[in-house]
Amino acid sequence: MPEVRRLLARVGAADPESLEDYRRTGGYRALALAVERKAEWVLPELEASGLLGRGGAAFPTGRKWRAVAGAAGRRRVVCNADESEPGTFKDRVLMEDDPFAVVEAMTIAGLTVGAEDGLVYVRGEYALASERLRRAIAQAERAGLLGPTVAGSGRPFRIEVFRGAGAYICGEETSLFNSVEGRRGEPRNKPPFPTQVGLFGDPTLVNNVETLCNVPWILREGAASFRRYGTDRSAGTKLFCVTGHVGRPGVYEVPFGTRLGELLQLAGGVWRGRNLQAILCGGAAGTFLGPDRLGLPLTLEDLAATGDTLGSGAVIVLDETARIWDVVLRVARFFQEESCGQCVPCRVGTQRQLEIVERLASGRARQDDAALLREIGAAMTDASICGLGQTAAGAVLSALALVGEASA
Amino acid sequence: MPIEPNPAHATTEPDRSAVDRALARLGAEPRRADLVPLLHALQEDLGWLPTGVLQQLADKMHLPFPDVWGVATFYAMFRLDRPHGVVVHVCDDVPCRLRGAEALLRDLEARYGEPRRFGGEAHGAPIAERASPVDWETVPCLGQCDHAPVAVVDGRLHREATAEGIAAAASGGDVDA
Repeated sequence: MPEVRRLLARVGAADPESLEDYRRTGGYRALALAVERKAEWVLPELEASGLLGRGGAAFPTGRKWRAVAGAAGRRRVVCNADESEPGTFKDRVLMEDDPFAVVEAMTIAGLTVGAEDGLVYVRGEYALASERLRRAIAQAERAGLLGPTVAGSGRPFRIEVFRGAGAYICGEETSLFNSVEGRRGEPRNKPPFPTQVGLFGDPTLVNNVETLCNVPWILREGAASFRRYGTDRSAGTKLFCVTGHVGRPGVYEVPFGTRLGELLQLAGGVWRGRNLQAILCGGAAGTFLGPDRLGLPLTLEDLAATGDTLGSGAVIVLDETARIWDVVLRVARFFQEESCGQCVPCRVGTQRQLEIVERLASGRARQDDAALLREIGAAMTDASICGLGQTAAGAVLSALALVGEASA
Repeated sequence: MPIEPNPAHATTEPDRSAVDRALARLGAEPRRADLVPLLHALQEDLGWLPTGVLQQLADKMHLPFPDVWGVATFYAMFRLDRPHGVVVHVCDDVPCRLRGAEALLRDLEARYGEPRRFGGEAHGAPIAERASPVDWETVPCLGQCDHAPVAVVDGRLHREATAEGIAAAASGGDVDA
């Protein structure tokens, strides 16, 4: 299946600092429609599209928007741009090369759910993305597309850019709220969910960058057009970041349902004519897939059926020469370092997991280490407050299942 | 002060005026939600966050010092010890490791000694005297994996980074940016 550049249509083809270029390529047509036809058209259209969140959790976007639109009191819109999953940079590419799409989508969200305040939480290390967003916001304000009355609607909306400061956990939406509020980025218990009690206690719509960038396209081209790509349950296209031992690492946009092997070929296949050993799919929070899985259709349902995940869309390729337990060791260290330390299963579990993986990677495994890893993994998955701890054992346990401890 | 002043964290007069400068730029009475942006501003100004500056910021914001300290130490980009040289961050995460970061890390270690671990080993601990002109640290994925291996030298991104390029940039002669 070939690449379909919908979200990436402007990347490399339009000047990301020019509002004129953005408009010339269809930009702000969706906002005009949303102003004219209002929430009673936007919400059903979004629901009919079947768009699911692209940040990893795959929650139905239309349902989330409707929940916030129906909430009482002051509402807020937050774009989660704290992209930190190892092997993931699709949101960076969108913000750097199509920043107006993020701004337009957030503006549509604001008008639709009845919010006046928008905030983009950009990963601290993404300096260029923050800069491009700031410039896009300033141009949109000058053009009357943000500010006291958005596009003649009589409704105000503004967007603030907030820089993160180096914490993977802040991609978790409630940690993100704490971070913006000037606190340590530790997650809150859910419920209440952000749609009820979010940033500064107000009902908050939180969407990932890629999710939002789908919205203007859907409103402009129609939900039916969106559904022409993908499967019934995984509608549309998806951005994948293919990295590691491949010919052409990069971001690739393909319809859901594209096979893993086809995606690998798009990225130039395994480099240097070597054989595939494994693919770490979903980043550190993902799982290892063996070469027998190249026929796998990349859909949420197909991955979920085997306990795997597309996660953020990271596809990290390991050729036959890679030392897989060294990779697992780096993943285990990542979680040990990034655990916020608030809840016990994750704080202790990621530390113990690292210690055991260190033994496995250096050939000093004890007899019961594999069983202990599974037990710790089950405790973290079941009992951690947030997604970090719940996914911290996935890569480790899948490596154990794929290659066993013998190849350490 | 809740924490014994460490000689390595000694606050100088220019440091003290930094808080006033940051608050003046804010242009309004600081709220708790301004804390992370203020810490960014102070670090950009001073290159790091001296304990005395955090204390002063806490006083001005009417926040308990441990709250400010707790936030500053939570986020890995905030540095609580004085850099002894040009600050270099090198990605040692999986995608970079698969494309040359391991060799790059070995080269840099041969030149500059062992790196700090991301987030700083033991905030508040005394810093070893180092002769190296480069203060380097390994960091998790920087989201530039299509240009691996990557490094950040004094705030500037280096894609397809080499030890030679990093050394040249650190000594002022920027080659590959």
